[in-house]
Amino acid sequence: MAAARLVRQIAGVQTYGLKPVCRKNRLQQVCGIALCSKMRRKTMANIISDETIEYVGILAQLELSDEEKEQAKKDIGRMLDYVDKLNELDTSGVEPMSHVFPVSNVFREDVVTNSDEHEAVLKNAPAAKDSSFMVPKTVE
Amino acid sequence: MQIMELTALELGRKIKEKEISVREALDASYQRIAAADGGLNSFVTLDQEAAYRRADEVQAGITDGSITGPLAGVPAAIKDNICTEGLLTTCSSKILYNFVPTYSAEAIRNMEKAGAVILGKTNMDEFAMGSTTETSAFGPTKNPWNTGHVPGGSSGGSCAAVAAGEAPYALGSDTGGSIRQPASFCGVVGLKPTYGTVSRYGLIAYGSSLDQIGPIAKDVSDCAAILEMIASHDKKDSTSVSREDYNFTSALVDDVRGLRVGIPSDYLGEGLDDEVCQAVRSVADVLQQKGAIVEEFDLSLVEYAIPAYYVIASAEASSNLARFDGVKYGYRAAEYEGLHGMYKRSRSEGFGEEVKRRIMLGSFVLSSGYYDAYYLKALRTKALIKQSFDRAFEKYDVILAPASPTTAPELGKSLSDPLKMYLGDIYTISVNLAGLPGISVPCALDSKGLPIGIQMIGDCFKEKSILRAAYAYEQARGRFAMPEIESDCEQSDKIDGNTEGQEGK
Repeated sequence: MAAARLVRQIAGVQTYGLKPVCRKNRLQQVCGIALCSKMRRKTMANIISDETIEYVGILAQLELSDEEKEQAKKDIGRMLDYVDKLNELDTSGVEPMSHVFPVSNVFREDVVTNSDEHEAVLKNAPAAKDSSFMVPKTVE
Repeated sequence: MQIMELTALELGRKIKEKEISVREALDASYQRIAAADGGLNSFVTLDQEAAYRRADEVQAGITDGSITGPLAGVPAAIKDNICTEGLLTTCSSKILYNFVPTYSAEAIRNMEKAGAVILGKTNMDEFAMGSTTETSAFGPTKNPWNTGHVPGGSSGGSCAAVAAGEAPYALGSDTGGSIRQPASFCGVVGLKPTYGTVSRYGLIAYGSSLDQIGPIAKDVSDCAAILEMIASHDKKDSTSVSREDYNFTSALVDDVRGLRVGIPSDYLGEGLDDEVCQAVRSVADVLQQKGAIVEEFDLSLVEYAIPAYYVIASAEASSNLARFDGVKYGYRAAEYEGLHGMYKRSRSEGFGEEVKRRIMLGSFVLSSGYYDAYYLKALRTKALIKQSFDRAFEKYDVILAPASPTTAPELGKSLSDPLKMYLGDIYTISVNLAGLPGISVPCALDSKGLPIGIQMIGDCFKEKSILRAAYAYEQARGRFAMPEIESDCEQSDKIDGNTEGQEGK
């Protein structure tokens, strides 16, 4: 394992602490974007690559300055180091629990029960026209 | 006794008996706010005109006998992530600087049916993300006991307002300790109900599987009465639970004979301030003297709660906050290129640092390839934590614990190391993960004069157990002091209408 890490370091590839189990796509490894769902975690420093931060920015719909990106890399890296602690716990056979109580969908009959509220809906609009929200052109 | 020293129920009684009018009660609050809030900054928005109009309505109802609830006419402060129709609601964020909801949260509707009068909206950590109220876009709130210290968070404004006598009671929200921790820092009582007890309709969501609205007041009786008023089964919240019994005030009995109280020994170790540890033990002694059976036990999994929580809460937050994009409400950037440019710039300019940090972490842990390793792992950990509490509640009725490892830290000392700040949530966080009810009760002042609060945790749906234990302890402790408030000579600029939010950009 240590040898593999050394090889990656020599090859100049940024790691983010993952040991790929399936060596599917070298490009994925280089870009720091793991698209393989069978990645096993290793407890080592999480180094977040530039590409990962770009990706996260897209997912989060945020644009970050270069300074913010550097800080974000450090912050997320540190937090992930801490979150790695969860790997100490044996959770095999435990179902992921989203809600503490059994929840079921709350259905109702498909009948209109409210009045026309479009004025209320548009009340806080940054920009509105007729009875719609106005936004930059979405389709060329 | 001054009006502002009365508990909410005491004030409610005096209003009912016509000793004090609703207007007079409101006057007392606004006078205190004018004197103190320049220094404390508990409030984001005050709307005196609307409040006095409402006071007159409620007074008429009390006089003609149509409004009879125990809290009718009593003014209340509301945390700024709870929607109040016609009253600016900002989540202490720039991105909602001008958002005026067109509907009220269910908890607010329940309060209005019971004759409540809303004073104003209180300051908080931005989008409830924080433990000190310092991430607010409108400046931090100060601890009324020592204005060089934080009030805690994220319901810091609500807790400070009650502690300082600015409001007889307040509503807060609790996702990882955001009612219980600031309550302990400010020397007031804060209660987080069992998940699903109070409707989340109208609560601007942070972590949907963890959030609950809850009361903040000067004593346990007030909190029980407020919970009775705001709790309800609500079809508009699909996670709302229909409780069999909403009669929380019936638990206010000074009798803990035979009550089995457990103290997790893993909570009392390293990192816990000595004086706080002493406070917990002193409460245990009081309960024991009153006939409770108190012992220590191993809760286990304590160190896994925080990482699990931050993964889950951030993940849910990244999803919940995706709606803030400059399209339908809130801040829209002045310059941008194209639709996606508008989204990104509005969000990047509108959100503060801590919020962006958590959205990014959340997006990351939910992303393809990491979802299993982080998010699902955290959810499995959550299941195990729930199981360890289930085991504990087979042996105990109430778990007694600290609310926070320390008393209120100084302002400006917490934000530079977010991870360290997160670690302060150790005693409160697992309660949210397991959906349990928890109450924070003031115990004593530490050697610096800052309040120490202890926490009582009950099994799901067992608010009555913790209310009874907390009430019994309170009876032995006696009335808890209120801090000395330095009056400002200058008028606070928040008194007339919604000035703060509307101008701020």
